[in-house]
Amino acid sequence: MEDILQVENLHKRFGELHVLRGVDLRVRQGEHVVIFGPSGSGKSTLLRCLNLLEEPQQGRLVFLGREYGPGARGDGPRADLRFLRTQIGMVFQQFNLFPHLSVLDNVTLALRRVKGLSRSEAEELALAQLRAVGLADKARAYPSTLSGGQQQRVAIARALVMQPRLMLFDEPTSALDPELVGEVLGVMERLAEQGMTMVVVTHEMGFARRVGDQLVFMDHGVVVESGGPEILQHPANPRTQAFLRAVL
Amino acid sequence: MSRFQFQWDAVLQRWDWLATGLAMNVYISAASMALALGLGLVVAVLRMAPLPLVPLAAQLYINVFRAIPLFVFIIWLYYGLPIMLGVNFPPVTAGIICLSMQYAGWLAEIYRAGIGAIPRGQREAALSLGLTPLQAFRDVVFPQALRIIIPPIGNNFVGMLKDSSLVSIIGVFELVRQANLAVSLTFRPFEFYTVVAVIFIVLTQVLSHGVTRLERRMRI
Repeated sequence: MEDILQVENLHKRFGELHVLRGVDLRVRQGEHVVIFGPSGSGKSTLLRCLNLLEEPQQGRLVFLGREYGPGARGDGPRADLRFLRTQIGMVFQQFNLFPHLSVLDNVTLALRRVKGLSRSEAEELALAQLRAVGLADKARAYPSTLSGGQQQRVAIARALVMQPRLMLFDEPTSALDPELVGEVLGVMERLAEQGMTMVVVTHEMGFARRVGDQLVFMDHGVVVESGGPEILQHPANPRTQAFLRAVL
Repeated sequence: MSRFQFQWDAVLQRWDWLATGLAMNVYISAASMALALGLGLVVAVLRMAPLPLVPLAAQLYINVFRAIPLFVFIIWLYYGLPIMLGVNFPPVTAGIICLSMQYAGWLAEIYRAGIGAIPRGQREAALSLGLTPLQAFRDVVFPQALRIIIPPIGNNFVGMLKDSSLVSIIGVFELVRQANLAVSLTFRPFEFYTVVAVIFIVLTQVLSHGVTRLERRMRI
């Protein structure tokens, strides 16, 4: 399978704090990568480096054959950054829906501003996407009137409507009440079945086992261990073993 | 006990003086507020710009123009600039420049607080969808910040209405100056100044009501 994304020796520091200490990662077309590990291990930072919401200080990022690296955000061509951002969708832990816009406007905003579609074209696509996550009837509602699970599904629709090649999920169920986790994971699993390439940071080990092709355990800013779902049963590294004992 | 008798007919005979004065206050305040809203936003954005020195310059603007007493600023600009630089402004223009520059300093800080109150995730979500930083600001961050800052902006507008009386010192015929003039002819200061006070109270009420309605309409 073709590589969509390659990450080599990625380093990220926040002042004195060295959060990523040389991370390598390969994501193939259609692959479902699940990143897990203790909090503070750098999982979210890694994910945010993949669409350059955080700028790594060192290392290399190759996405669909285009290279991004330190400095690329500032002095690299802007169109390239836009390419990266429109081809990579992201779903956040706190949903980050735009509260001043209706559900429909949340989903159409980027279609109109970035892809230049007319309002009616954008709304047609957006409604189809909302239908896919089961929320077409909420198109006119405002985010504050929705449950957490519904908000997160809208956020997923908002990212998917741009037809990205890769989807990033940053702990998408961590802010949800337990009874709402299932509906969001359900949408994500359907998406996985349809062949979407995904990188998911999550503590949902059941989801990791069911959906993950490549499981990546991170600790202290490095990838400690990675492999197929079997590493959940038979982790080789003592740190992975300790973590899994604690969460499973 | 003194038995003061209000003689309102003195005011009634010269109501048109007060009306033209009031119109001048409203004109100066509205023009100054419009300019201050624009200039304040520019200063606020520069204050937050991720650039060297620019934020410092914006902060300097805020510190200086907020600190100068408006009275001093008006005198300085109207009488000082012609002497120093040979630049002459008509009195009304000079008044509008002073008011808008001073209020831009206040408004810049209000804008900054409002923009700072919007969670970072909003901007990040917009950027992650491919919006440019400018689009993220215009379509996502600013409209939300606006809802937060409408009440303090309304307060500033009320202050501006009252401060607009200060331009009388350079000979603009606004409400207070017109009242002064009428008093010097009629010797009925309490009647005229009472009416001036009432006019400002009513004006403030109308403005506050408008702000409240705007706030309610824009509530998320």
